[in-house]
Parts: sequence; structure tokens; C-alpha cells
Amino acid sequence: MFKFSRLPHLSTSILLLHRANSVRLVFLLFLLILFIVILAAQFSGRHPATISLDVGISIIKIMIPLLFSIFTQELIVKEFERKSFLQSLAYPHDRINFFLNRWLAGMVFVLVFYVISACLLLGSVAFISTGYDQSTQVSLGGNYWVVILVNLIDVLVISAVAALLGVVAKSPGFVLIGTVGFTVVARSYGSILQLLSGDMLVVDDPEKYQGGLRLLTFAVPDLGALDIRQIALYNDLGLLPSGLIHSVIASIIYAVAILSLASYLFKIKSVA
Amino acid sequence: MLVAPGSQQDSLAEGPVDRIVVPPSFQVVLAFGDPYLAANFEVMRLATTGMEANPTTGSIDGHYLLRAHKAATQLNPCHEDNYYLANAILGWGGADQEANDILWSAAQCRHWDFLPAFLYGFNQYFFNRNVAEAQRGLELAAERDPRNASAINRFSIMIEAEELDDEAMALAYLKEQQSQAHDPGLAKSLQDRVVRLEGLIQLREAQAAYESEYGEPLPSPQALLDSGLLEAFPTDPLGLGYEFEDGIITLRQLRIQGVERPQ
Repeated sequence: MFKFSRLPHLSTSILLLHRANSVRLVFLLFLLILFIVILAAQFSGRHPATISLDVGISIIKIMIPLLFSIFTQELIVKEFERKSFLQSLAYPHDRINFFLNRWLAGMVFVLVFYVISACLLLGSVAFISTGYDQSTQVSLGGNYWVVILVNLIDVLVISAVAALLGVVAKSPGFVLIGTVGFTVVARSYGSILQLLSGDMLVVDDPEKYQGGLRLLTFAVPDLGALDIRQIALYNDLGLLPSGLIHSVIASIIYAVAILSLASYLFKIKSVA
Repeated sequence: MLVAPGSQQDSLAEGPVDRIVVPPSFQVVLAFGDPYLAANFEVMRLATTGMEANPTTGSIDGHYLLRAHKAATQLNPCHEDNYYLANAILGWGGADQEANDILWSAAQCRHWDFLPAFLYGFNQYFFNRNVAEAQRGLELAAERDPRNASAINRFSIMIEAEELDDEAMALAYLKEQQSQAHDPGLAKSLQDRVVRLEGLIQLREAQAAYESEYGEPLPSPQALLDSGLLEAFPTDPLGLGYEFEDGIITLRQLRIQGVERPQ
């Protein structure tokens, strides 16, 4: 039986978020997802279920960094402002442990939101599929959950970056701008490079493409490569990109590195 | 339906400001780093607002649609609405080359879907009379759709046969194709076309005999029967029949509602 008392800071942090109306915010976001997904299907003549799934995944991906910046603001930045760290850090607990619990609280909240919204999306798209009978069906089974799972790594990376920004932020708006900016850059630079080089289709020559990006991925991970939704949209595992394992491992390493950096900076930060 | 060449100058001089299509690379940034979302936005926009008639010229703004479709193809070539609308609006609205480019990208991306390849093949034949390219598209479509493969292959063979002016050559070509056909359905269909072509040859030979015997051009097909050169008109197994126009007997074409063949 999982005992919350083993992780006192975790339970406190979750209660903090609850007190900050995060639960109401999350419910509002669920309603928004439902609304947008069902309306988006109306714009498509030939494949409404595909479009609603596509737009639904995009909406959830947009909400993730916004949620993280809000939670990081609550859990870390506001504590610095309120100076309540002076009290919390007086406990005989390791600072890094404390910080990681704070991060984990935000992560757990977003994970619960993510899983529930994935199920909500599944339900809405299944409902829309009963309408127009498309020639190419969407996948709402295994392929869909593979997409959701691989996108979790994107969530992990953003949570780590938000935590880092929370520690180093000097002004309140910086966490939001920094998280959103990082997300946009990390998700887009892969496809922008591809578009600018004139390739209209998925890479024919992965060696050349990956070689150029390899150096860049150390500074900013290629989160766009983690977006494998085409296997769910067109129900075809053959559309999996070839360098996926590399992107996954690189992104996980990046997240761990950033989180370690954030913990270290938190440890040496003077709170007074 | 698209802006006719003659009125282009007027629309540039008096019409409202040309519609903006943001370059695809920047659209990705605007869509929060998501090329799929950018493609969806672009197609939704063109489907809902691009089909209005420009109040000055009274026709659809084809230039905007061209750029919008191209941008959407670059962002997500697999997008079904994009290729479908591009074929219908651009292809049959005078921009068939651009529609073909979009259809070919869609055919490459959607490797399970026969339709973009088929539409590409058809367009190449109909607009450009480019049999080689048309057959490339049709072969790809037949590969992907086993249910319709025999019909598509039949079409592919027929467009090559019709290219041949000399009907005897066409007949020999069709007979050879028939002997090579493994599919009994295809062989039967080709047999019908062989019979149809043989009927045409019979009519033309009768016409040549009439003209050499009476020294005047054939006034009407009925004269062949009256003069005793033909006992009866040959029956066409396809039911389409033959036509007598400008003194020449030809195969009657299938008339499709709303489709005008370029001369």
C-alpha cells in the first residue's frame, strides 16, 4: 500500500496545487478539449475522425507546457516570493529530495491530466468515427497508445526545463515565456530544417538528416521527432520514423541532465 | 470557374489585396511547433474561405488556392482533404499540373491509398495525353487496390490502344494484351473491346469498298446496307456503338456529364 507519509513533501505539494484551483483549471481544459475536437471534425469532408484526432493531439500538446509553467510557478517560484522556503527547508530533509518531490508533484498532476485527456480524446474520436465512414480508418487501439506513450517523453523533457526555469527565474513571467519558447523551438526546428531544405516528404536519406541535427540535439532536443502520430492517424506502423530510438534516448538523457542541473542549482541557491 | 486569363489584369488593378499564405516553415512556428496543426489550419482555411467568389471578378481566387494547397502539401503530404480538394478544384479548374504535383506527393506519402495515384494517372491522360506518365500512376493504383486492379489495368491498356491511329495496329495490340492477360475478367473485357474494334474495321472496310465502287463519299451508314455491302451493322458488345461524323466512322465516346474533352 503506497504510503503518502513516506513522501511528506509530495503530498504537501499536491495539496498546494489543489488549493491553487489547479483542479478546476484542469476540468476546464477537459471541456475545452472536447469542444475543440468535436468542432474540428466538422471542417473535414473526407476524414473527420482523422482531423479530430490530429487536432486533439495538437491541443493536448499545447496545453502541456502551459500547465507546467503554471504548476512550476505555484510550486517553486511563488515559494521563493513568499519566502516560505525558509520554513520548508528547515526540515531535516535533503534539499535535492525536497526539490524532486516538488517537481514530481507537478509531474503527477500533469500525468493524470494527460492520461485522462488521452482517454477523453479516444472517446470523442470513437464517437465521431460512427458518423462518416472513412476509407482510411484511424487507429484507436495499440497504435494510439504508442503515440501517447512516446509523447510522454516530450512531457518529461518539458517538465525538466520548466523546473530549471523555475529555479533560475528572476522575474515571474520568465517561467511561462521560457517554457513556451523552449517548447516551440524544440518541437519545430526539425520540421523547419526539413521544409527549408525543400524535402516535401519524410526523409529519404536519414543519415544526412540525422548527422546535421546530431550536434543540435545536445543543446535542444528534437521533440518534433517524438511526434509519431501518423501511425495512429493512418493506422499504419510502417510510418514510424527510422531514428525514433535515437530521439527517445537522447530526449530522456536530456531531461535527466536538465533535472540534475536544476536540483544542483536549487541546492546551492541561497534562500534568504 | 477559376480566374480566366483575360480578366487577370483587371483583378490585379481593381481587386482587393491578394490573400496571404504564410510560408510553411513559419506556419510551423505559429502553430506551436506542430506541422500537422499547421496543415490542418491551412486546409480548413482554404476549404471554408477560399471557395467564395471574389466580388470584383465574380470567380474563385485560383491564385490563393494554388499557394494554400502547396503550403498544406509541404506541411503534411498525407492530408486527404488537401489532395481531394486540389484535384477537384485546381485540376478541373485549369491548374492541372499543380494538382498533379500535389496528387503525386499524396500518392508517395499515402502508400496504402490507390486514389491519388489513380487520379494522377487519369489527369495525365486526360489533360496532357501523356500515356507513359498516366500508366505509371495507374500501375501504382492497381498495385494498391487489388479489388479494382482489373478495372484499372483495363483502363491503362485502353488509353494506350486509343493512342494508336491505325485501327489494325490497335487491334493487334489489344489481341496481344488479351493473350497475355492472366485475369479471366480482364481477358473477357479485352475480348469485348477486340470485338468492338473489329466491328469498326468492318464498317470502315465497307465504307472504302462503297467509295471505290460508287466514286462518291459515303452519304450515310444506311447506304452500306442498301448497297448490299453489309448485311447488318456489327453489334458493339459494350453497347456504345459507332458514330458517323464528317464522313468518318468512329467509335462513340462515353459522354460524361460535365466533362469537356480538350480538342
